Amino acid sequence: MENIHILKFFADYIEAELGIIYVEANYFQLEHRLKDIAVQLGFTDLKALYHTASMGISGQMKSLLLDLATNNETSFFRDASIFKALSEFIVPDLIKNGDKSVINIWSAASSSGQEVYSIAMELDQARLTNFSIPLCRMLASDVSDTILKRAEAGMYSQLEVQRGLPSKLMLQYFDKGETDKWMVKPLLKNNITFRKINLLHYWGGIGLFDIVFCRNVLIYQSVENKIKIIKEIVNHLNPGGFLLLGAAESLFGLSHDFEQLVHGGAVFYRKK
Amino acid sequence: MTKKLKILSVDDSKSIHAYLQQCLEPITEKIEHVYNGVEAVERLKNDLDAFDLIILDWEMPLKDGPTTFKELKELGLKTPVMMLSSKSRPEDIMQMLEQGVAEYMMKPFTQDIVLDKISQVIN
Ligand SMILES: C[S@@+](CC[C@H](N)C(=O)[O-])C[C@H]1O[C@@H](n2cnc3c(N)ncnc32)[C@H](O)[C@@H]1O
Ligand SMILES: [Mg+2]
Repeated sequence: MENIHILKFFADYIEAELGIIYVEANYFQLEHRLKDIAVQLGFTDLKALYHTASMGISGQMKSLLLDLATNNETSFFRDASIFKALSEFIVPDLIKNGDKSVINIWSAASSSGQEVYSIAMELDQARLTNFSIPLCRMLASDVSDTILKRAEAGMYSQLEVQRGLPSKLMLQYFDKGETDKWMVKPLLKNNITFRKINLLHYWGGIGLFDIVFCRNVLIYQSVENKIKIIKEIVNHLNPGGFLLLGAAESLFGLSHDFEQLVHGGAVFYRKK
Repeated sequence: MTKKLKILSVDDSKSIHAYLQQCLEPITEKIEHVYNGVEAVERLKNDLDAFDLIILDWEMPLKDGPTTFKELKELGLKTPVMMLSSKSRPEDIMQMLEQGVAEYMMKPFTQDIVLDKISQVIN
């Protein structure tokens, strides 16, 4: 690989920005993707991209580089038991003292939005039988502009809309557009705010939450970064607030600020 | 899902049968194929509990999916039925859900979609 120092430059940039590590074994793939970006931005080749990037990376180039490194894999009701736990245990636990007028929820790596819309659907369904659920406000954030725009648009292909979503809920909460796209109904978006947040950087006045979904994003981080991010989450959680991780993730060895709970097979954490 | 399933696939398309067979391999004890509603009713009428799940196409020659579903219900079928169709208009989907199909899957679909939908229906 003749461009090894160029590849290392971009790998270091990605690691510094996202904490995502490109090992040399994957440089071939990295090179391939960087060449695509060079073409998209109108550079003649990788060297020309590097030349400009070495003077500073921002704007569209930055977006494309961050998108290159992130995996946006997601689906509706990913690990369905977590969403049942939300409506059957977590929300009832938060309101058991009867003094809560708003529940604040954060989907901290929301990708194309399936997670936050699943939360909204689950809560809307739960309201049919539990009349005491208060207003729930949701913040959906991601580091990628591109994917955040998709989340906000709430428009899904026929394959995406079927992944994890029962057809009954699909009909209830989505409108079918032309060209086989399914659009989230406005009512589901009412209490959701979308915002770009890099979990590795300062979060700036996002407030306090009762529930944080931080799922399938820490897996890409070093242990030090995981600890740092979880520490920040603790600071942004109300006492007794909940943290939900991906099905393959755990807090083991990362934090002592939580107690682990299990409901219907789902594992999650409550701030001590 | 721990128990492996017995599934009847009703579809006039050979390639759908082959694709389903491949997708469902991890969860099936057996999968049987018939090619239209007449064959489906014939297969099931004296053996209503033979399967854990029926996957039913909409458009088929001789007897279509909705008619087949209605007849099977009248015969007393309890087995969950998942409709599989390239019809993707909300009215069509709604119509079948109202008539009592357990789930509706639009073509095309992927293996994780069908496995996920089946696990929702069975559990
Ligand atoms: C695999 S998706 C997970 C989506 C969803 N939480 C789920 O579990 O289905 C991971 C998301 O994390 C985002 N991401 C990666 N690094 C991040 C960072 N440092 N800050 C915020 N988001 C990040 C990616 O852009 C991607 O959309
Ligand atoms: Mg057909």
